[in-house]
Amino acid sequence: MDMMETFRQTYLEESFEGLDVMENGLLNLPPGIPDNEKINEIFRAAHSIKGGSGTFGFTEIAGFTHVLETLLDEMRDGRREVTQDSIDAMLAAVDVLRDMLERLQEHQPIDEQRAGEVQAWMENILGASSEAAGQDASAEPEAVGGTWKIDMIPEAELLQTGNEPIRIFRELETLGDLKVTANTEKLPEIHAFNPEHVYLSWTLELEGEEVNEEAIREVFEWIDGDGAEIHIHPPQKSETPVAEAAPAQPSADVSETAPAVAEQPKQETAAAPAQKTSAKAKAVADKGHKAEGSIRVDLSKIDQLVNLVGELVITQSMLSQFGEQAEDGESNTNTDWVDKLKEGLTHLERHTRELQESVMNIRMLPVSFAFNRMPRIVHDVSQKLGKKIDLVMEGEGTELDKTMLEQLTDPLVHIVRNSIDHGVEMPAIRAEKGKPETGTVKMAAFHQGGNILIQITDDGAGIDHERIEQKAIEKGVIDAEHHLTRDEIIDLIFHPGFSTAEQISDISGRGVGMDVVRRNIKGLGGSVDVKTEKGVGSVFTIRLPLTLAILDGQLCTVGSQTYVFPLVSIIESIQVDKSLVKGIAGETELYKLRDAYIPVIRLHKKLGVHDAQEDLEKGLLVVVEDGGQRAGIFVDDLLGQQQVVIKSLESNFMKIDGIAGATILGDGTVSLILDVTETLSNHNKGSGAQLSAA
Amino acid sequence: MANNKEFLTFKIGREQFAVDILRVQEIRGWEKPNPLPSVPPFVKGVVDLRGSVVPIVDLRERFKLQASYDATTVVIVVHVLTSQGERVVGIVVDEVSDVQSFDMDSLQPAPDISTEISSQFILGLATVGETQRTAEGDDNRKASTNNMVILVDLDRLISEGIIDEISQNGHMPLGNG
Repeated sequence: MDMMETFRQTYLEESFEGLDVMENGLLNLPPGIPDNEKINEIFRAAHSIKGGSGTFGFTEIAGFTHVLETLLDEMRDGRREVTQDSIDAMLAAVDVLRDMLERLQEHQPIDEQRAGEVQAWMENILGASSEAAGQDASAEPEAVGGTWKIDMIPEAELLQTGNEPIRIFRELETLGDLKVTANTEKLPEIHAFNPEHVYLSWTLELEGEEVNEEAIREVFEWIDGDGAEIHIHPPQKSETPVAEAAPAQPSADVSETAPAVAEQPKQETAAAPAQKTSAKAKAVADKGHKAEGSIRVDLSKIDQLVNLVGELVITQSMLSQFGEQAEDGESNTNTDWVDKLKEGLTHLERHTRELQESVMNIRMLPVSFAFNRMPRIVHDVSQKLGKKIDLVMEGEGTELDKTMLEQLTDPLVHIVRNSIDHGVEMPAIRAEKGKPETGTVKMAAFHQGGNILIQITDDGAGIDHERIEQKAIEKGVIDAEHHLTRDEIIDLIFHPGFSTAEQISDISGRGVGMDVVRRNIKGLGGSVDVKTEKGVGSVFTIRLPLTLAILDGQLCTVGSQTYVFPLVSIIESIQVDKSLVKGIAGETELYKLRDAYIPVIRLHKKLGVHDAQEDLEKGLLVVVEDGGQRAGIFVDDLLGQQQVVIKSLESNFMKIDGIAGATILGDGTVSLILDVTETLSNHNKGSGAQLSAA
Repeated sequence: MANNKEFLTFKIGREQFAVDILRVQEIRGWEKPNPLPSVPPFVKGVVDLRGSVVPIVDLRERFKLQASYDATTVVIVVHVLTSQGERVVGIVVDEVSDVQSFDMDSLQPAPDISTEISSQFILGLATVGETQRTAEGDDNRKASTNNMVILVDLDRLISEGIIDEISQNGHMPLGNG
């Protein structure tokens, strides 16, 4: 990667962060009197995106951001009220910018049409106000059009401050037709020439409809009075009629184009949902590609690592000293030697563990990373549907593995959209039911046991299990004569191709949502379920392992092989009492565990191990649970518990059914980690019998 | 100028095969890997290769040839490029012979006949150089296959001939309950 590419990458990363800042700022910006602090923050973010884009020659971005900036600037100066329309326009602009940057990152051409639409929208807002300003506040004569004359007399040291006149001219050119005349009077004789000095001055003539003093001032912002003298002469008096006529023109445009522009995005989304989905699918694919990118780490985390490595080095030198003593035969005379060695080893163990934790910690990011996208989605969706939603977030500081977090964002978005679309009722209906008109969607993240839980709670209508049942029968997902419990019926919303939305909207209801949500979360080693009460609301609970890479394992033997169970899925291990083993239809065995029957899965049969213990009484039954279902897995013997590092089998080979991955044990042998979820579901499919744990 | 490339030649049964030397990471002695469930018998299992889990595939069994494990049985650890990215795989062969240079432009296409090694996995056939031929020329064996080397297309063999084949044929059903 060459130098420029590195800078470019940094610019893009910073710009994405800037966009997040802008988006958050805009969402928290109440319409009405502008809050300068907030607008300033948004303005700064927009400004640095613009600045960087100019440097890297991304003129489209620079031009686009410029309009946005002008709008913000007027708000900052209190010349414009913050209206809902302008906030929406700016949010759309943030989307366009994000899209532009993403395309730049992938070296793809920019979608100029969308950018043009949003730019026109903002320009309309700008036009409308400059007209208003012209009408009621003549104190600020916004002369538009005509030929502006600018004298630019730089100081000799201009170049040394990093300012380049050519860039400024280029910037001016984006405003209108530019004519540059260089004044060479001050050029010295060649022997007196200092190559680092500027001797030229320029007279610039700028002509264009959108030219105004402010726009020009802005171009010169960095050097005006600080490196160069700038004199701006507005168009001549004789041209004033033109200048007066000009504001009238955009105002005529406004009435014609404004509604069209405002409607266009809606039309687009409604007319081409298919296209949108494909774009979304692409975005998801891109995301996978981006996931390999860099990560920003808190400096304190790095410091901690450095400290630990230091400690480790000390322990290492201590231990090697013991080694030397042993060689010298001192160990025989010194009775403390063994004790000290043991102490050293304890230190080593502790430091290794701490080091491991710290390294894992680097991969951890706060959930707010994924949660921060939600206010925007809630804003957009609730507005589109005319619902009132309060979004409450809790535990945003809870940390999750970065890869996991990235893949979690889409499922989260989907659940939140669903909660708003299907869950929370329209304000009128809510009022009728005696609920507050504004619905609440709560997102909370917290630790529980060895898992991280993310709950999305809404106080909406809840899921109507009777309607789900009816739909499921209609669609042939289940038989009319099913024996499913209420919870099992509600669980059908995660079934592929199942959607109860009466009307297909572009928000949710394509029926490709919840099953993908479940699949994605399962792919992360987690689970998702829903609890709901009609009329009261629903709670979606996502359960995720702390990290992808390390697992608390229970080692067991089957024949000559060692396998690892994830400790979290084990309930208990029992010795088999043969009188409690019942057979169903020959092949399937059930074990009566207290007052419930659980299926017995013989691991050696599943794994094709031939030298294993086959007598149930001589082995052990490991009782595992997954998704509310229990089973006893028969193994030869249990060994110790230990933390194992999960190595993927897919990275060099392929996914194997029933196996979550492999790990390398202390003696260098490979051991397979069992996937309890898959083992259980395969067993159920294989045996053909529906076994519900009583 | 001849387009020469170096290949590592190895023996399976009486036939000589060759793989691109740049794809070879290392050569290891045979040690019994940890078996995997639900895979065809030619996937012998996985081993720990300095922290990564590497599958071991017995090419002899894949080609339906006789496989025995003795002192010269070796594992060639190779890098292959599949549609899912780079993979490291160990292949078991009878014996590693030599590193030889072949002119890529004068390879003969593999005959399109149905064999265990489908012609799509073969880059081409080559004859070994003069020196080798004189060395083996004195041999009493009828030098028919001896001087032919089969250049294997590792990428396709591993991704299409092994991984895809296993996923398409489904996992071997191993006793349900």
